[in-house]
Amino acid sequence: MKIRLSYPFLAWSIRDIFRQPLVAILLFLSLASLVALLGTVLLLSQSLAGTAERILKDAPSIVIRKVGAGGWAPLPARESIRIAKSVPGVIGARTRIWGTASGPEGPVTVYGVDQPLKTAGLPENLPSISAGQAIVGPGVMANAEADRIILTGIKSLAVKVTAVLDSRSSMVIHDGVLLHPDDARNILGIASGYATDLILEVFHESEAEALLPDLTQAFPWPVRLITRREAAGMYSAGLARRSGLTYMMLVPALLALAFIVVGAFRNQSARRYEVGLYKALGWTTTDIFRLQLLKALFGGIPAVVCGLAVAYGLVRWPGVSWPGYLLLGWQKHAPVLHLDATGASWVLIEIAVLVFLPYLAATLWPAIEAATTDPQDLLEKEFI
Amino acid sequence: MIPSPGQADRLGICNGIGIFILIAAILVAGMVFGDALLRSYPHQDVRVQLVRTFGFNRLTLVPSGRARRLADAPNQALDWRYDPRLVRIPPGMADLILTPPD
Repeated sequence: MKIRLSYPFLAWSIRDIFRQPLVAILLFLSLASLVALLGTVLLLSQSLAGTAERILKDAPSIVIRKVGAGGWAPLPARESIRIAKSVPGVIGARTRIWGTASGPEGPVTVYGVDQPLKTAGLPENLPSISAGQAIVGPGVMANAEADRIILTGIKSLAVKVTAVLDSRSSMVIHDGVLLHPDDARNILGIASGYATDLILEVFHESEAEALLPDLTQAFPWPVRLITRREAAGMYSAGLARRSGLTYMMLVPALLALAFIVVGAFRNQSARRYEVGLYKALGWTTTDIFRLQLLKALFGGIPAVVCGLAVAYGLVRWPGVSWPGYLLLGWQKHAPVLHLDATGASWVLIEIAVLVFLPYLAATLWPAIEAATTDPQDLLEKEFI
Repeated sequence: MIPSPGQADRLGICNGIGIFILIAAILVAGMVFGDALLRSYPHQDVRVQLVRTFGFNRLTLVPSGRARRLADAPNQALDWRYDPRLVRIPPGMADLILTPPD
C-alpha cells in the first residue's frame, strides 16, 4: 500500500525526533516541567493579587485602631464615631468588633455582627444571629454536623452553630465565626460600648490618604490608620515577590533553562554532519532550515503547551487548596481559592516566550551555521 | 530484512503523529487561553458582598492567630491578617493577639 505524505517535511522532522526517543522525552519533560513551575509561581502571584484587589474594592476606605503602650486597645464606639464624622470628608463611620480566639481546631477570628443579616444583601439565606448562636466559616470545623462549638478568648463561651458558610466564601471568612456583638465582646474581653476598631468611608478613594493627618489630630488618643489602598496593596504588590517565592523559583528555573539551551545547542552541533549529508544529497539551505525549524517546533511547542496547561490548572482550577498548605501556613482545612484569571493570558505568553525562544535559538543557530558551511568540510570532520 | 519503501522510516505514521500532536497542542492551548480570556467568576459576588457587609479589609489567606497556631514556624512575623507590612512587625506587636487563659 502506498502511503501518502501530505507534509513530507513534517513527517521527516517527526521521524528525526524519534530517532533519539530518550533525548526527545527528556527534553519534553524538562521543558514542560520548567514551564509548569515558572507558570505556577508567576500565575499564582498574579492571580492572587488580582483577585484580592477585586474582592477588596469595596473594603472600608480607612480602618482606625486605637493604640497604646501595650499595643492595640479597644476604642469607645460612640465617641469614636462622633469624632470621625466631625472630620470633613468622612461620609460614613461604624465600628467593628473582632479578634482571635481559640476554636474547636485552632485559632479562629470572631466577628461581632451588629446588623441584621437579612438586610446585608447576601445571596445566601443566612439566619439572623441571636445571643448564643454563631455562623461559621467553611474552615472552622472539620465535623460539619457538630452543632455547638466552644470559643475561648479572655473568656470561654459555647455557642450553637446555626449555619456554615459556603466554601465559595473561603477567601474572605474561611476561619471566621460570626457572633452576636455581646458574645464577641464577651469572648474578646471588650467592655460594653467599646469596639475593636473603626471603619470609615470617604467619598473618593484619593481622599483617604489626604484625610489621614486630620483624623490623627482629631482623636484624643494615638491611632493607627490603614487605608484600603494600603490593605489591598499588600496583595497587589505581589505575594510571591515579598515572600521571596519568585526569586527562589526563578534562580533554579533559569539555571535549568540554561542547561536545556546548552544541551540543545550541543546536541545540534554534534549532528552537523547530518546537514552535510543532506546538502550532499541535494537539500537546499532553505530545506535544512525548514526541517530544523519543524523539529524545534514539534519538540518544544507540545512541551510548552503542556507545561502551561498544568500551571493554569494548578492555579485556576476552582477550589484549589494546595497554596494554603504549601505556601500560606495552613496545616489542615486550608482555604479553597477561586482565583480570577484576568491578565493570566499575558503571564502565560510571557512564560512561553521566556522559555521557548532561547530553546528555539539554541536549536536553530548551529543548524543554520552548518547549512551555510561547505558540506565536504562537515563530512570530512565526522568521517575522516 | 530490507523493509519496503513505505515501511522504511514509517513516514506515514510520523506524518499522522505530527498532525495529531499539532492539533492536540492547538486544542489545549486554545482551551487554556480561551478559559483565561472568557471565563466569568460567579463566586466573586459572594465574597464582595461579605466584604461590603462586614467591612472586612483583609482576606483569610493565612490562619488566624498564626503565632499560636504555628508555634514552631520559622518566621512568626509573617502574618498578613494583622499587619499589611510583611515581615516587619511581629503579630504580637501589631495588635489583636489575645492570649487565651491557661
